[in-house]
Amino acid sequence: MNETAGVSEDRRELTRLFSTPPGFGRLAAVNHSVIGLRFMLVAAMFFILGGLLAMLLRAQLAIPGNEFLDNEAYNQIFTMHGTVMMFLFAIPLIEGLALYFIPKFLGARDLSFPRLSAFGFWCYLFGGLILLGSMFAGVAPDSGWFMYTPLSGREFTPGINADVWLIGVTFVEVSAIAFGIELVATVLKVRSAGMSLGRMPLFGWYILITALMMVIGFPPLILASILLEIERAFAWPFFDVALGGDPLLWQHLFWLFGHPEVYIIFLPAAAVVSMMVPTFARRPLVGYHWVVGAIIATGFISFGLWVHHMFTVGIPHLALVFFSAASMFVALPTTIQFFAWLATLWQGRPVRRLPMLYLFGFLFIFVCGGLTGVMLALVPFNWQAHDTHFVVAHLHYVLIGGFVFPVIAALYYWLPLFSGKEVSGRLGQWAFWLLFIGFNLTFLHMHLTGLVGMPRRVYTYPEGLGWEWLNLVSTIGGFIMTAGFAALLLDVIATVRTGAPARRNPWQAGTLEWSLDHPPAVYNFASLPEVRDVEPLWEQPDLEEDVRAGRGYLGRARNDWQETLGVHAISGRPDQIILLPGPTYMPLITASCLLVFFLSFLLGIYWLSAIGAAASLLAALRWAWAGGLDRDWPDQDAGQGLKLPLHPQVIEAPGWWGMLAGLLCNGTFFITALFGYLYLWAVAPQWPPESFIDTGMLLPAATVLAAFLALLAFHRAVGNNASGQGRPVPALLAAGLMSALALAGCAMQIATGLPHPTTHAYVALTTFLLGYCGLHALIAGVLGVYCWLRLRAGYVSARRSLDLRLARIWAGYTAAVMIIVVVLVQGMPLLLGEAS
Amino acid sequence: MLVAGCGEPSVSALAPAGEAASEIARITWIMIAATLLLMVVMSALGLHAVYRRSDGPVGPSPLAVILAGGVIVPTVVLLALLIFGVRSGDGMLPVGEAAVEVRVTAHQWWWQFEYRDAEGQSIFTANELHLPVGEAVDIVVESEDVIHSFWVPALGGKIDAIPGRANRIRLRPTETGQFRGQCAEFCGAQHARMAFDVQVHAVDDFHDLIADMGGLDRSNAGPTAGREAFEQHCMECHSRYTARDHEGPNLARLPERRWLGAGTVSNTSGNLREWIAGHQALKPGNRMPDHSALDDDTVEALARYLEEQ
Repeated sequence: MNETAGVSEDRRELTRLFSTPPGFGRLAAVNHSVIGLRFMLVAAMFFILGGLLAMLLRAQLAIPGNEFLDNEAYNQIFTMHGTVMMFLFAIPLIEGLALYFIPKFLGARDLSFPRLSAFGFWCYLFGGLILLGSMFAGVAPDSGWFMYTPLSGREFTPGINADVWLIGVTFVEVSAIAFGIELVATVLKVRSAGMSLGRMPLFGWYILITALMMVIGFPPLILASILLEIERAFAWPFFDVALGGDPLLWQHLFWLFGHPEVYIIFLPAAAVVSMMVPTFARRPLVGYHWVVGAIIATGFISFGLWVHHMFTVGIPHLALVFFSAASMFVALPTTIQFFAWLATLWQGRPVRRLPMLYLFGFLFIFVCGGLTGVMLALVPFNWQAHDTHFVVAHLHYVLIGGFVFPVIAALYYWLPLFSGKEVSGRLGQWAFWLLFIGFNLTFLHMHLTGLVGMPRRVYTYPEGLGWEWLNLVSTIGGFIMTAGFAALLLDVIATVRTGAPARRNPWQAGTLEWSLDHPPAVYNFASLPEVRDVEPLWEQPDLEEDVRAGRGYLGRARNDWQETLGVHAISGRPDQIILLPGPTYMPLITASCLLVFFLSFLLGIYWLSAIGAAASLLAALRWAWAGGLDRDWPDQDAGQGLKLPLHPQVIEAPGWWGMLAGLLCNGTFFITALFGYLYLWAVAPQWPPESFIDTGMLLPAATVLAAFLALLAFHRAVGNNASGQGRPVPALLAAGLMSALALAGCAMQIATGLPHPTTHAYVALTTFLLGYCGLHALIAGVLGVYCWLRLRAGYVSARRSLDLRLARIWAGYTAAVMIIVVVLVQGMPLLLGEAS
Repeated sequence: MLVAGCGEPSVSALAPAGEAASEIARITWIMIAATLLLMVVMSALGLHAVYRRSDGPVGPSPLAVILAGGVIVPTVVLLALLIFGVRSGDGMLPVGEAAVEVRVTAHQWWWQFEYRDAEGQSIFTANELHLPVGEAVDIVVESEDVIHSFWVPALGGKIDAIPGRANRIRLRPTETGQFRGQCAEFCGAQHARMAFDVQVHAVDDFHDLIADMGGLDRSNAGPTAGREAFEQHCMECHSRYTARDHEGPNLARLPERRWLGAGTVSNTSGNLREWIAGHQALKPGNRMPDHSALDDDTVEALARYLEEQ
């Protein structure tokens, strides 16, 4: 009796600690279930919006010469349809799905950085609202979701439309980056005890690779958007061919993001398939290691085939062959997954339930999309089919088949878990058939529409070309599909509102989330399980009872701490107790400062924009200040007789992994910028420029030296702090000073060695690279001061050294980019330079 | 359904009238057949896996399934396809000298075509492309403003028109007749109305036509009122002399054209009058200044002048 009373006391306490406050306090929410659901809900809203836009497009194309929409409206609507579906629906939905489920699948109470995902949500919402608002103001982007230059440049799109896209989407991408960093650190560090990487549910693998792909894949787009916005706002000519730029640079950067994006969307969909198939086959997935290999291979190959979007731009055929081959062989990892699912069903005893129906829809539609994808990878065929309705059909087969159908299957599959209500199935079957028939009626013959000559993105077409009935049938199919989505929406609302209470684990699945309450408690697990298998509920019958009775790890609430386990990244051996943050307004405040930055930039109020940027940096530091411990703690009891250190006192704290993931992202941004520099040098028609950088050698050498001295000083500070011999303060002040000198060195190279950036792409890019280095030196300096303040306030000790070590990593990165940029910028003209 | 009926020009990639288009159409049919076959096979495998009779495990060992279905079969198929595709693509490249070279300049939203007559003199036409049957023709594509894409589905693949670059595509028509070409890359407000007329002639007819077009000057043809109106309202951008490279479409051969406004309306006497004053209503946003204020007499005079051969 006593033990039960203690358990319920602990659960009450956990509920209090993990709950989100009511009323306005909801704005302070950081809990992953709350944030995840918000992401999914807003994404669903945007999906409805994107769908309605698609209906307008289909209505316009129903008959030739239709005057329902004029060209301005149509061009805005098709641009927004693509933008909304890609950036405001698909990616955020994936983020919501992973934020909500990953801790539940991996046996944790929350993510590694709950405040970061809350921040990401606000960025997503604000960016989305900017785009949405532009539509109601009649100034929505109208240059296509791919924003090709020079059409999207100032000359041909003089209005605010293109700026809305660049700024709104970049704001939303901040949330994608935040998500990527969050999930890399979470999957690697925040799992349950015993969950080695080889015992991790496949969903974890899929999300780990997806998150890495986002960290690497989004920076090219962000870079391209920043460059184009600078070109539009300040006339720095990155893409203007007359001044040494190249419109194809935009295409390379865009598709360097844009193709991995397709797999970023597909992998999480395959992830939910890999979770459902074992459940309905009643046996673990066969070929676990094959599938893991396939996921990793997809991640790699997907970065090597962006040029297949550019087969018609005039790149030499021999070069196209490489990308053609990569585009074909990226199919291999996918076929491996398909046959692993098939083999699992053959080996098991499949049961037929509603989600399986949608999985069959996925199989049929996605296989078709994959095969037409292989067709498009064939260069000569691509020359005909590119930019026609064939591609429209293909991409909808891939994205609706490969993403929407699995997501609906997942919705039905996990509905009992997150709503606590039973799925009845009748209306869901109707919805399936409406969707399946409507989809194929819209898109199957649309392949033909393209092959008989109808290009994409035309707001009207003349009669007599043989396109009439093809388009009319597509429109009819589109409306049937809409009816299917309406039925689905009705069914889900009815289930959530009036459904019977769900039985526990209704599909008899084997993964950890089904051991939770339906719907799950705010803290997920009353105590954290020890896992010995990929499908622990099948192999460890006592697990659920043990977890509930508090016989796992961290079952006791203490010190008002929100605790979860941190594990060794590979083995899953517990190595720390992670203290999670409670509700805070800091993510909202920081995102609001960013909103000021972005919005005032959009409106051309640049002084306010500068204030917004500075406020964002200060808010971020204030946010960081709230973390950490102000005294050393002994190792704490984690349950099961295990004593573990608190995370601020561990070398490999989640923050350390987060910093690495962040720098991976930053480094990709940097490398992409270098690519732009070298690409223009090699390819752009109007090169070389009239003159090259001219600073002498002393200034650049001094700049690099200052950056390295700053690194050395940070290193010294870390050493002094760890050994207790010597005080870290003077070293920190030296680090700050040296960083300031490095910043000044970058600024002086720009000011004294270069003409105005508007004169040539060479000057613009060189200025950009040196400015990038200067910005990093500035932040390094700020971190020096920040560490000094933290030290004074008692947040740093020999055991609590994370702040100092993170600053040292930053300074190391700064020194590295500094030497690379200075050597490149000063060396290239010496090596190859012959000014025109 | 695959070929355009009712006397309309062919616009379909599946009704090829050129060497490259025929080769691609052949590949297309093969790949469509293979795709359908594979879809049937995959769907059947999926259905069998779920709706089979026996309750216990079936099929070969899982490893064999993954290896055969996921690795070996697709590798063989993809390799074959790749080799096939590379060879076929190589055959379409502009290698060696072409019999005719046409320079194409894409504009928002119309096409300029430039030929050379026997003396090497330039001939400019707008929105009408003439080609000889059976000969290798190189189309050299440039852009005056944004990115466009040159595409005649019945003759071959497409090639982008990119500012600062001159891209080349080789076509070899195999049939005479009329075809429709159009811009395939989204290029702004009137991307939908950026079509051009393609006419493939017998070789002799083609050379006769080029000779006729060379030096054709209709500047002084027709009634004076129309000529004066043209000089007042149109001449800054347009010319009726085929040797003149102007900002707007060359109008020397307007009477011979099938379409007005790059495929916006057919070239009838009524449409021409409607177009002159109302082109911003027919093709909103086009780069020609608004002429809706022109009075009926001026429009009539202009139309008569432009119709004069």
